[in-house]
Amino acid sequence: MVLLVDKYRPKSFDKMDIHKDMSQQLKNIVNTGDFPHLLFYGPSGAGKKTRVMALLKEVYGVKAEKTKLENKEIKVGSQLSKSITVTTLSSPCHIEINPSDSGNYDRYVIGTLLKEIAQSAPLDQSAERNFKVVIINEVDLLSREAQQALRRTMEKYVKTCRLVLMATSISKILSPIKSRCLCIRVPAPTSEEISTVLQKVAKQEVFNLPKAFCDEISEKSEGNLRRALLMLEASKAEKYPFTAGQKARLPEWERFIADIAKEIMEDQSPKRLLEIREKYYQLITNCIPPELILQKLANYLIVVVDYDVKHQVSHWSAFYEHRLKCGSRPIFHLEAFTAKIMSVYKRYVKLLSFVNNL
Amino acid sequence: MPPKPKKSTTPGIMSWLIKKPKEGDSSKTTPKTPEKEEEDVSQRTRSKTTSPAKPKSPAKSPLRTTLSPAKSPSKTSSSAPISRKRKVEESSEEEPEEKKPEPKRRKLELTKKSPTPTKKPTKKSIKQESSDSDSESEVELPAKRMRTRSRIVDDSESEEDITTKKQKKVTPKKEAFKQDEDEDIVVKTTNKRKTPEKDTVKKNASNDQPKTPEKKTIATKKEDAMDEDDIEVVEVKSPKKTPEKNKTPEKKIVFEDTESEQEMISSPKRKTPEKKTTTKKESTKKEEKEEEAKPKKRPFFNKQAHAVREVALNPGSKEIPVGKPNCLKGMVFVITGNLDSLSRPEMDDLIKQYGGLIRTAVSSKTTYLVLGADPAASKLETAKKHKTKKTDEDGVLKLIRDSAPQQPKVNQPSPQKQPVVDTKELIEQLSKQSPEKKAASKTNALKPAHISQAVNNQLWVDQFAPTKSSEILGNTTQVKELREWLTNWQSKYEASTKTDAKQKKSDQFKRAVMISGVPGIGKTTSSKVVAKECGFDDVIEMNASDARNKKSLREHVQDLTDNTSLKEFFTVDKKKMKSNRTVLIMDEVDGMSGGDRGGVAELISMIKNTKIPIICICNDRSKQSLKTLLTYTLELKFTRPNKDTISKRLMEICRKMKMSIDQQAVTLLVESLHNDIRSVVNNLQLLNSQHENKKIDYMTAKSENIQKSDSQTSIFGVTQDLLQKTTYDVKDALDLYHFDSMLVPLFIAENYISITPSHVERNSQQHIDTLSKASESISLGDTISKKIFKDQNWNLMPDVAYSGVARPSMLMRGKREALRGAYDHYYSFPSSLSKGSTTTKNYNVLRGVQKSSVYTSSLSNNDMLDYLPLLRDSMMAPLIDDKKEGIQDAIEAMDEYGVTRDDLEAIDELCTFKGKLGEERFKSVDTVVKTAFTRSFNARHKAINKGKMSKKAQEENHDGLNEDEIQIVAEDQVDKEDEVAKELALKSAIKNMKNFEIKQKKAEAPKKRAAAKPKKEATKKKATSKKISLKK
Repeated sequence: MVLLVDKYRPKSFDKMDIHKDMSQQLKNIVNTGDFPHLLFYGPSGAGKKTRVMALLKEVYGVKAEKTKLENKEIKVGSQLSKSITVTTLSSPCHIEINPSDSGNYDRYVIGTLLKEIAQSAPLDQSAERNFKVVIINEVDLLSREAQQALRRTMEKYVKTCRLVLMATSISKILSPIKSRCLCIRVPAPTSEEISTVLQKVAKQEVFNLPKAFCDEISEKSEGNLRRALLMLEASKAEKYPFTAGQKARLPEWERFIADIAKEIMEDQSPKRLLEIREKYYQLITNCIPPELILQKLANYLIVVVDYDVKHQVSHWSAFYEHRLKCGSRPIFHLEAFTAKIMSVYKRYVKLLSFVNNL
Repeated sequence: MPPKPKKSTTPGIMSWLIKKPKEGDSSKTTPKTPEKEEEDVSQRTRSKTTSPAKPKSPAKSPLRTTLSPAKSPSKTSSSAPISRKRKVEESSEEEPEEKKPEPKRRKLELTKKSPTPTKKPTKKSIKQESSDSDSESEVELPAKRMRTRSRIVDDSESEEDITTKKQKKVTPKKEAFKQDEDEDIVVKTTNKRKTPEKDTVKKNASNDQPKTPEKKTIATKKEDAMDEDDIEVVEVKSPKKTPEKNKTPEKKIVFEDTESEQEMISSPKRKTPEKKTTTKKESTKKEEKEEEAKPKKRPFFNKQAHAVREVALNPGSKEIPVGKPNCLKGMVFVITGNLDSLSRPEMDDLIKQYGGLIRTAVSSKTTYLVLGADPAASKLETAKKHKTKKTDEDGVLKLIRDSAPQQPKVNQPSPQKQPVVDTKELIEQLSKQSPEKKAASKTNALKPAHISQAVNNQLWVDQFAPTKSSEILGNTTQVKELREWLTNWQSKYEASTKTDAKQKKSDQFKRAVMISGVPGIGKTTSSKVVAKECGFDDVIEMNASDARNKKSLREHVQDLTDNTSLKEFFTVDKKKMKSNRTVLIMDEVDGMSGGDRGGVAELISMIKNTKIPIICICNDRSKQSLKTLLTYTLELKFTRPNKDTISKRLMEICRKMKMSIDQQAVTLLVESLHNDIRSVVNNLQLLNSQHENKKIDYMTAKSENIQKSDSQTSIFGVTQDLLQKTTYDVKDALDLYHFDSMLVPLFIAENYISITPSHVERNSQQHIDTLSKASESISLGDTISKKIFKDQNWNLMPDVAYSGVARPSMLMRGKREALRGAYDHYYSFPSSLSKGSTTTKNYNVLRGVQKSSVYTSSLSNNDMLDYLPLLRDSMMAPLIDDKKEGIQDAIEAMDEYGVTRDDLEAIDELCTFKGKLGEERFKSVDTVVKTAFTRSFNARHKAINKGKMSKKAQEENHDGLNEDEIQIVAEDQVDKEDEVAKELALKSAIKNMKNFEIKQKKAEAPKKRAAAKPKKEATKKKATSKKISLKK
């Protein structure tokens, strides 16, 4: 059993439903037989990875699909005394790494792995392409040092390997790297595009997807096709056949955050703050990134609060997001944000009742 | 004598530090804020004390009408410039001296030379200046400033302390009050700020009394007080804050501001005692009157330390009488309800002062039940039962008043002379007595050292250390046991060497003893004394100052333990000849860590083979490093001696040292130092040197505030102090941060929400605002501390101390409330620590799941969050909906995404948010299904693994799986509550086994290689699980 999102991932450019012109362009690029370093960027769920995989298939044929997971030991540290395990996904013609998983050691991962791969040219000289492809995920999360390490390697081993970099935003990527790559932006699909994909999947899976519900899912997915498909499947698992008034099923953590927003509005007291702290802890321990918590919470709050408080919410959420980035214990900042909103909102409510009484 | 509120139209002279003193009435133009008023006071008092030209002014005052705005400013204006000038001049002279780092020593020096009266005011002004300039800049750089300022304050304080003390010997305690007040900087509530002023009024009022003895009534007293220029101001504004208001002060706290405010507030307080001395010299004041004022000062001091409800209803509304010392001796009081004019601690102090006892519960021994407003019903009932006499505040006061031997008036023939004469006489007496005594006590070990003190500068602790075991305080049974053990050591040792093998482990002779207990209760002393008494001449002590690692222990001590002392070869005594006369005392064994690597292990091996007794001493026997050591030693737990025993001994010492001190004062000392004999004796000696030849009564001892030196030892105590102790100022808070610079900020952050600040109403707007401010500060502190670690910029530590600890705790301090429900009793340990490790663990799990599937391996964390719930559902749903039929589906889904059995539960946990949204899905899976599922999953994986793994790894895996399974079956069985369920489970288990075998065959059909062995094992497993379930 495979999830719909994985089952219906298009394997080649021809099967893609969105950004067809881009697919065509990519096809043209690789048809020349070679291609430069590539940098794909765009929001998640837009289809970056799908395109890269399709590109590989276009270049290498079916053998690019024979992927397997591999754990590699890499020596790290200034004395190379410590060793960490890195998981790579590889096929005979490419390797995919996530150096940002290794935290501060990412530059060792980049250095070691890239050299290892790049220095050994494919044995099969008769092969069509005598270079390998290295896919590096989440380049925007790489440390500055790692990016510097990448910079030199890119030039040095250009004969034996091509880099395909993936990122959600290029603002954090060094400009030398950007200039060495062909940057390709993959924009998020529109909700119409998502709807068509959803309908197509429904058709292939043979179930009925009412248009209204389909639209709601594509709306709630925020331009993330992956999420849209996951949501569709989750909603289907929850209740099928779909009814008219059915809501798309949000992940539990999101509903949990919505609850927090509601609780802040209901009561502003130390006791409530303590309760909310516990909830924050639950979210954080369940691996919801604190920045995401703050962002979602602010989104929910802005919807709920009155017009006069909206700008306060956005101001303070920005303020504490910065604190989150600067600090080491996210709970303090989330809590401070909550306390601040409570204080602001309580004052507003008081003022409102005062004005009303006049 | 609460002043009338109407007089608030007093001249408000702008603070001298903001503007130069100006004539005229500025009150019309400037709105009167409390700060300003206080500045006024400081200004006026200052000008007064600094100008010796005007000492007579109070005497004139009775003639003047109550309010004379025109007059008073003119007076101050003339004096102020002079004082300023002098201040500037002298400050330059005094400054270097001020910076001396040892105020204590100087204190002693200064007491010898009598300071000139001019010196005193100047000190003041320096202090004032420095602190004021600080307070201005404090707004910008509070954390850094705080330190410097408080140091200056300290210095000047001690100095001023001395000078004043010398001048008015009679009331040495006043300075102590001042000190308290000085330390009370920063966040202050209005009620607290108000009280001291009231005190000053009262003090002054009482001072004035003697001048106009005809007008002894309360009414006239009031007038007297108002006649004084500077007091007028005080008088006028105190009514603004009536005691009722104290409970709900409206002033919002602005942190930065209050600091500078406080600076100004403290100045009038500082002034008053001086003022008093000047007036006193002229006046014909008697000592008793002075004492009368003392208890009245208490409200300020105590109110801070206690909860709001202990505030008196009408503070200061009654005159505190003076009674005969110890007039309440033998009486037991129980106080209930809010008293009229005295707060609870004040009343406590008053009763204790006169020798009475305070108890919290009524019993048959209770003499009086003192009733206030809203008395506790339970106390009344028990009082009825015991037929306890009831009385009220007035009754107690009357008791004291009646006890006074004569009318106070008659009793004051030479009031001013009295203290001087007192001391002189005392010295004379002493010098007369001491030679005789000396001669008399030549044989006595405890010499009367008062005169010989100059020669014999020994510490009292050493001087009066017990020399006989009978002299040891408390722990009699333990000492006896130790003695027995030591005396019988040799014989038992010999016995144990003979019958070593046969003896049981339990009643084996312990060759070492472990004495544990808190510091200062005589562990080391007792062991030494007892060892000597038991005839061990050679007492070898090793403490933390000696190197005690494995090597040095072996080198130095090992020889001792298996050697015999040379001495015995020379002794004629046969009996002694036989035995070993050496004992080894290993002091502070709990300190054997770090540098003493391997020390404890070596000690244990020494104990095993020792030929001499070993006494180990430690403070904390629960220490992990001592666990093994404890099994080889006989344990003796020393406890704190009874406070009465200690005070008895102390009185003895005092008598021998010719120190006059109240029984009550000694008891207080013992209590406040938690029965630590050593530090009590040390403090006693210190007290003695500070109050030479003077009687130390209860209030003096209390004002010394000795418990402050008793530092907090637990992080919880530190948290409590920070969040609740109102006497703490920023300096203290910053100091406490260094108790544990990692943990203290976390503790504050964890617990600050539970505190309701004392100045706000619960859940009010201010409360939430304060909360938000505090949390903002904590958040800032966190960012700074990250910077410290990231850039190794340790210079920033004070900033963390300020924003992470001092500021939030100052903002929030107040009463703790149990917001977390019934089990919320005390400060909690920072959950961010435990949650942090859970988070890391969960991230690892998440990564593990993510990296084990081709589909998800390249996803970012956020994308994985979208995946997880559905992944979980796709595996759980078949188990929940289709029960056993769904097992296969579930396993397929898991394999597709590389999820293991453990991962499944971890994912389930990760996706679950407790509360409204329910609990883990896996819990709703039927136990039977769960078992079957686990089994089939394991079986399948064994099969898959077999193909992939090497033989060795395979074997390991098998073992692991078997154990797993047994455990699971066992767990499931425990879950069953009744027999029926048990049977059912048994049946299904067997059935499942069959199913599973079939399934397994199916699953393994394509993999022909792996057919034979798993089958065998499956049958084996079946047998084992059957066995287990049958047992159940």
